[in-house]
Amino acid sequence: MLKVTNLTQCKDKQGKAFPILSDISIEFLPGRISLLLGKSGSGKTSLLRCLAQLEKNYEGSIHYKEEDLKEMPAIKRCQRIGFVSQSYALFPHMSCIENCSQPITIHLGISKKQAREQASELLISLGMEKYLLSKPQQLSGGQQQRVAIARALVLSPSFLLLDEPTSALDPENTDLFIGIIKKLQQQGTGFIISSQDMSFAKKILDRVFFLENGQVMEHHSMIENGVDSLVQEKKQLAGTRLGEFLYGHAML
Amino acid sequence: MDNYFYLLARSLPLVIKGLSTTLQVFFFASCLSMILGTCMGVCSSNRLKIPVFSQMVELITFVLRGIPFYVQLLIVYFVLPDLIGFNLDPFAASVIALGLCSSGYVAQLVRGSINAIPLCQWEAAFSLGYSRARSLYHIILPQMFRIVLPSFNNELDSLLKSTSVISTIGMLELTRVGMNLVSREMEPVPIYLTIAVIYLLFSGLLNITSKKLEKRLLYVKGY
Repeated sequence: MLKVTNLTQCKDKQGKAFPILSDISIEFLPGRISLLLGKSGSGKTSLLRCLAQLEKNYEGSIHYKEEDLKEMPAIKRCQRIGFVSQSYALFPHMSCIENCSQPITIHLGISKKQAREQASELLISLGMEKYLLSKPQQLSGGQQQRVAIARALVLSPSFLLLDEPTSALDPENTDLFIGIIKKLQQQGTGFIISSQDMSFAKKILDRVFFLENGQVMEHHSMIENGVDSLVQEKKQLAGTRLGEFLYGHAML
Repeated sequence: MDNYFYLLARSLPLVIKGLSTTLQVFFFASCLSMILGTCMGVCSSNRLKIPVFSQMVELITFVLRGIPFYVQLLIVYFVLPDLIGFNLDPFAASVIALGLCSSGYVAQLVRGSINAIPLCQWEAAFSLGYSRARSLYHIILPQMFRIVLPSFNNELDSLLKSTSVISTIGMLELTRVGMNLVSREMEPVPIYLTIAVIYLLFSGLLNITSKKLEKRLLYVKGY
């Protein structure tokens, strides 16, 4: 479990401390898909970046089980939490397989050949068998995303953080992506996904945190509430900010 | 024309000796410049700043770039021995002065190229648990080298031509050999033109090598 307690983050803007995240306390469960929804500037990406420890200038704490992420050594941290940024950030001078095998070689101390075998297994499982030796520039956005996910997964993290994963995907690739994360979820990986793509969010609703002005305004858990159809979902979300965000005023 | 070839044949041993000195100084000075410049550039790049130390490095590069090479050469040859307590021969002084002067520019090129690499590359490496040193070695430097290569070529080109100044401290390099030959033969036009063509040839060779390297470093065709 990933537990966020009283997380507050401020950034300097023209000499004044400007709050980005305000007193957020939430828990992310393993093997579940947690969606961070909200408009631009609501604090979704900032929260993800704090969870990934890319930003450490926050108050409060983030614990994985009983361990504080801030104090956790890098090697341990990346085996708990993987992060895929909005731009995927693949290393352009390496092929897909090198992108994925290098972290294994570095952290697990196994031979390059074994690392390449492990990496290629993972890439093949994500449908990238034809592109193992391709460079990132030769791939489409959707393919790059799959390589980025594979790279984040090579160290078997318990949680995978994805920042706006569908922002550059067409509907077909979005469906493919949903298939991939549902498959990985079944294998036990927990996902924390920030998004403002409503059609994507509707297809993947599980646990949802709705953010506004750096605060978690609402928290919905569809499975616990027994939601298994769109009608039930709309009924449950009627009158909520999340419902308004996903379906607009038309549903109310 | 016959006269020219006769003159060339007579002068060839001296020209080869001068060229050999020029190339040796160029080789050692460029090694010094690249190693020192890259270290200084890395230390002063935005993501790897070390308080005080990076500022000192920036000050050093400012001084190296701000003083003309000729003055630096004179300082290294005439002033440095007083400070360190032993004399430097002209060859060592030339290599040190050329290497130091050029390293100031190389540092700026490296700093700019590292800063040009998107922040998300550093963040991706951090997310994968790479230390700063590992990120630098595996991720940033290979990308930096590709960006900086054309500018490195420029700097090396300039360094090759700057070797002509070292004749002022008594080095018998290519330009000085040309001047000596002119005094002996009283034929400035063919001699100076030949010297110019030799510099041009080696500059061309550097350009071709750099272009080939650039091609090899392309991620994929067209990128």
